[in-house]
Amino acid sequence: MLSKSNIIVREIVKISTDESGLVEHSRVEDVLSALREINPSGHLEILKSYLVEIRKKLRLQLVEVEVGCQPNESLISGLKSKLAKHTSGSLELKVSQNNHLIAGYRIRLVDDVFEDSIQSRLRKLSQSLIC
Amino acid sequence: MSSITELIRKEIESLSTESTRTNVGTIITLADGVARVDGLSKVMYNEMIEFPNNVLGIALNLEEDSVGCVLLGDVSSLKEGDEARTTGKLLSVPVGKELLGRVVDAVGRPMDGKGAINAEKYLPVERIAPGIIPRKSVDQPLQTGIMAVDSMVPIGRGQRELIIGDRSTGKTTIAIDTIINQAKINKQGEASGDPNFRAVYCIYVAVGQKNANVARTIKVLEESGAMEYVTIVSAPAADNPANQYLAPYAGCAMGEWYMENGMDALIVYDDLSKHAVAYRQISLILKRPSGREAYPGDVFYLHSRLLERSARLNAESGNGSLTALPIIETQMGDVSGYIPTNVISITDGQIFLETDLFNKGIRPAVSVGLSVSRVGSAAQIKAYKKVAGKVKLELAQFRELAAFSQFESDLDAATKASLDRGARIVELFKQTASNPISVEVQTAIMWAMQNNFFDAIAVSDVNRATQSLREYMETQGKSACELIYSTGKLEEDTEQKLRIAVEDWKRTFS
Ligand SMILES: Nc1ncnc2c1ncn2[C@@H]1O[C@H](COP(=O)(O)OP(=O)(O)OP(=O)(O)O)[C@@H](O)[C@H]1O
Ligand SMILES: [Mg+2]
Repeated sequence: MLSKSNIIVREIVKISTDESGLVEHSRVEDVLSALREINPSGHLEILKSYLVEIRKKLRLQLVEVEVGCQPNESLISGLKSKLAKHTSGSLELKVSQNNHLIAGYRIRLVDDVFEDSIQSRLRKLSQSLIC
Repeated sequence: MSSITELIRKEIESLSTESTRTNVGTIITLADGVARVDGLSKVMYNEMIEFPNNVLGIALNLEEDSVGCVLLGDVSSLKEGDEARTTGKLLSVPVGKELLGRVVDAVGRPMDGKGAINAEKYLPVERIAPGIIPRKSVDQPLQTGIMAVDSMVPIGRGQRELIIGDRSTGKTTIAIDTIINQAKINKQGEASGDPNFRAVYCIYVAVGQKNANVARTIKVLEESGAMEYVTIVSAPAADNPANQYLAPYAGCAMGEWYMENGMDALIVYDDLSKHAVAYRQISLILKRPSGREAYPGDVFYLHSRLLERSARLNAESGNGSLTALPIIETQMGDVSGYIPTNVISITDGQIFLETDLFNKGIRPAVSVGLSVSRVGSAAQIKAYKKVAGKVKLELAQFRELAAFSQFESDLDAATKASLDRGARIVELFKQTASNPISVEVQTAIMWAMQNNFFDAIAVSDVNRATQSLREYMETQGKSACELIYSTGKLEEDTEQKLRIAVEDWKRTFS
C-alpha cells in the first residue's frame, strides 16, 4: 500500500524527467514552484522524499572521478572523450581532487566504486595485518 | 621489529596494481543498532558490511530501495550520510581447540582479558545443517551425571534435548552440571589411556543474561575444573540485540567444527526465549510484518535452522556429533506459549522443570509426566538400562497414586508398596547442584534400589543413605564400579560383586 504522499512523490518525480528518464533542471524548478503554489498537506514530507528521489536519479546520471592530484584540463578532456565514446552522452562527469587518496583515483558510478589509490592500499594492508 | 618490516614489505610486493571494485551505499537512517542503507545494490543476504571506524554490520533486510543492516560494535561513532561498503564475505568466527577455556563475544573476540586467540580456522556463523545421508541415529550416551535425568530422560550424543521451566527452577544448573560431568568423564577417560575414548567438548552460549549470572557460571565452571573443556560465548542483556541474535549461531559454528572433525561436542543455548526476544526487537526495527506475540513470521525458522545443525554423523562422515541443550523459560508453567511450542516441536524431547517440585525441595525438579526423551534407552549403557528401565514408570505410578491416596484411609498392599517405592525414588533422585554422579555409581545406587536395599530405611533417611552409598562405592566398592565402567554391562559376576559391596555398606550404614 502506498500512502497518498508517496503517490504524489512518484508522480512529481515522473514529471521532473524527460522521455529518456533524465532529470531536467527546468522541470524540477517547475515542479517546485507548483508545489509552493498549491501547498498540499504534508508539504514538507513530500519535499523531503522528493529530494531523496531526485538525488537518487541524479546519481544515476553522474560519474564522479576523484583524483589525488590537482585535476588539469587535459585530464578532464581526456576522460570526457573516453566517456562519450562508451556511453550515449547521457552521463555527466564530475572531476574533483581528494587529498585523502594521496595518489591514485576513485571512480564512483551509481553505487559501484572502482578505486586504486594509496589510501585503499593502506586500508587493505592494515586489514591483512589485523586478521 | 625487522620481522614486521619484512611482513609489510611482503604485503606491499604482493599488492596488485589492479583497481578494486566495491559496492557502496550511504546510511539514510540509524536507530537502535540498525542502519538503513541506500545503495548497496549488489549486497548478498547475511553479508558483512563495513562502516567507518571499523564498525561491522550484517545485511538482514534486502528491500527494493534500501538495505537493513544490524550493526555490531560501537554505533555511537556512526552518523547519517556515512558510507557503507560490501566486503564480499559472510560473517565468520574463529573455531578450534584454541577457544577452549576462553570467554568470547558473539563474533569470537576474547572478553576474558587472556590475550588474543590464535585460531587457525574460521567458519561462517550461518551454515546449512547436515542432510539426511551423512546422519546416523543417536546411540551413544551423553551422561549428565544427574540421576533423575540419566535414568528417566536419557540423552544421546547428537540429540537435541530441551530444558524448559519457569524462571529460577534450576534450568541453568542442569546444563552446567552436564558440562561439569563431561569434564569429569573427559579427565577420567584421558587418564585411562583408552585409544577409543571420545572426549566431549562443551560450548555454553549465554544470551541476554545478566553479567553477574554469566560471571557466576564461569566461576562455577572454573572451580570445578571444567573450564579447560569449555568455550563460553556471551552476549549479555546489555549487549545490542544484533549480538544476542548472532551468539547462538556463532557458538553453533564452533561446535560444528568438532562434529565435522570427527569429535563430539555439547552446546548449551541459555536461553532461546531471550534469543527470540532479541530477534523480535530487530525485526520490529526493520519494520518486518509481525505476527503472534509480535514475533516475525520466521521465528520458527530462527530456531529450527539453529537446532537442525546439531546431529550425529555416520562413520563415513567421521562419526562426530553435536548435542544441543537449548533452554526455554516459560511463564507460569505454560508450555503452550508460542516460542515453547515451537522449540518443543523441533527438539527430540524435553526436560520439564516444575516450580512446585522445586519449592518443595525436590531438586532437580524434573517433572516425570511432562519430561520425555525421544531417543530413549538407545542412549544408555547396557548396565544402566537394566537397572533404570522401570524407574520412570514406577515414579509416574507413584505420582498418580499419591494424588488418589490422599483421600483413602486403608490401602491394599500392592498400592502401599508402590507408594513406598515411589517415595524412596523421589528422595533418591534429590541431588545438589554441581555434584554430578558417574554412571557406574549411579548404576550401583539404582541397582540397590531395585533390589530392595533401601526398603528398610525410613523415607526421610533415603537421601542420606544414597550419599553414603555413593561415597562407599567411590571408595571401598570401587572395584565393582570399575568393572561396570570397563565392560558397560551388568553380568552375573559383576552383579555378585555389587551385591557383596552393597551388603557391606548396608552393615555400616545406620
Ligand atoms: N539441584 C539443586 N539443588 C539445590 N539448589 C539448586 C539446585 N538446582 C538449582 N538450585 C539453585 O536454584 C537457584 C536457581 O537455579 P538456576 O539459576 O539454575 O535456575 P534457572 O532456571 O536457570 O534460573 P533463571 O530463570 O534465572 O535463569 C540457584 O540459586 C541454584 O543454586
Ligand atoms: Mg538460568
